[in-house]
Amino acid sequence: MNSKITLVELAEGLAARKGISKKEAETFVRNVFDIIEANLAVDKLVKIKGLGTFKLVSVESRESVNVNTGERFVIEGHARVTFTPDAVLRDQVNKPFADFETTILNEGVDTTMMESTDFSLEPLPEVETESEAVTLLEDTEEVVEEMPETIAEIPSDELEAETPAENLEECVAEAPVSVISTVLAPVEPSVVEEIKENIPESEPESVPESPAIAESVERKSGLRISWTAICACLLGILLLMFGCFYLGTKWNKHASAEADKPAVVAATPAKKMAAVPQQSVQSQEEAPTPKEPTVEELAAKYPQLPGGEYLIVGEKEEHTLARGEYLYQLARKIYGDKETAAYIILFNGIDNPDNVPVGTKLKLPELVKK
Amino acid sequence: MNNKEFLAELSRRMNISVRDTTALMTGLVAEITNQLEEENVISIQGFGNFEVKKKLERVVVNPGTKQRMLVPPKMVLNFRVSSTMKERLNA
Repeated sequence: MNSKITLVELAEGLAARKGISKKEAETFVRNVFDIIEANLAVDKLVKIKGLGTFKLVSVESRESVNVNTGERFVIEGHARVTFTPDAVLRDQVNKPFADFETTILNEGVDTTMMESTDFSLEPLPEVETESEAVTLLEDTEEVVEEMPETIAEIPSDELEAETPAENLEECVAEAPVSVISTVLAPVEPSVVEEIKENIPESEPESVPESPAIAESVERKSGLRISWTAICACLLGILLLMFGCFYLGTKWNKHASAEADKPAVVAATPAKKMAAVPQQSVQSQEEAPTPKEPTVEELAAKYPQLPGGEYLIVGEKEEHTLARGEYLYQLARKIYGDKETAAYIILFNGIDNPDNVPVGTKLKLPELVKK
Repeated sequence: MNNKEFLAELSRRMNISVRDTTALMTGLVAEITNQLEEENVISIQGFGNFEVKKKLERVVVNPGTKQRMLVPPKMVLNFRVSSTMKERLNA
């Protein structure tokens, strides 16, 4: 790097490459430059493939002024040697910057900041996502608290009428509910447990009331009863999803009771339905949001590029920077977009992207398009 | 003088075939390229210096459209002729 290579060293390199003696190589290199000079004087132009073109340009004599004394004097006409590197050599030399292109600057771009190459990227506003999670938790807790009351209050007839619609809702909601439980679980498992606890508590309350409700249920058509049966099945699936063994056994007891007292049990699932719609409503309210937090939550763990096109959601692999590699090239190779180099820079906390030493271990981020 | 004439002259001087000269010349160019890639200065006594210089990025303005453009940094190969050769050529 930046060392001075003389003709002798050049010849040594050539000798090693071509397997000739150093002496031979030296005479060869010497001859090459001799011929260039000799022919430059004659032809004014020497073109060498792979190296470039040497030209002899004559400069006419011109008048100039001595800046110190103000005296006018004449610069004699002379010959000037110009050298234009061959395209191959030029590109080879410029290889580290080959990926850059001239870009048009938009209005209002401040070029004064070009002087300071400060690449400190703002840390991601983590507070925002945290507060989001907190409100999410509060919501669920509220719903959980309300649940027992609503179960006690809502008349079964009303419930029955709503059932078909709610049933559909429940079908839709089924998946989101599981999503919610999985999303919430890592954040605050106790909330999910709370829900579980509240449901069994509400059941004993509803059972004593059931005889009265049962009469009204009996008067309903058989279709209604089949609806409730479907509801019961779906509820069973839901309960299984919660994976609560306690609830499972409880359900079995109800199922056995169904055989003895169909009327009472018919009401009980309806009561249970009260709990389910509550959840389905809750899940519907939150369903659109929770799906994103899975990505956002992952993203919150890592520093993000403000206004960037991608989100960093994880670490993909580690890469040791080899000789001749540079971040833009690496980014293009891995993500197919050289602009993603900024994410590598951010992810590794590189202070000076212009100078990343060979052998640097780079963590490559997992990127998800926003 | 083009590359062909140059190789012919070189082979005559070295007393080797044009084919061998071409092979050697390719090797020499490869060696020069390699050295320049590593940002080494090639200094040939009585001929001149080959040096790679880094040009910083800069903002240019198209005078016609007043459009500002950011020109990226680049590495440029410079040749600086030695003073002895300059004198000889001007003599």
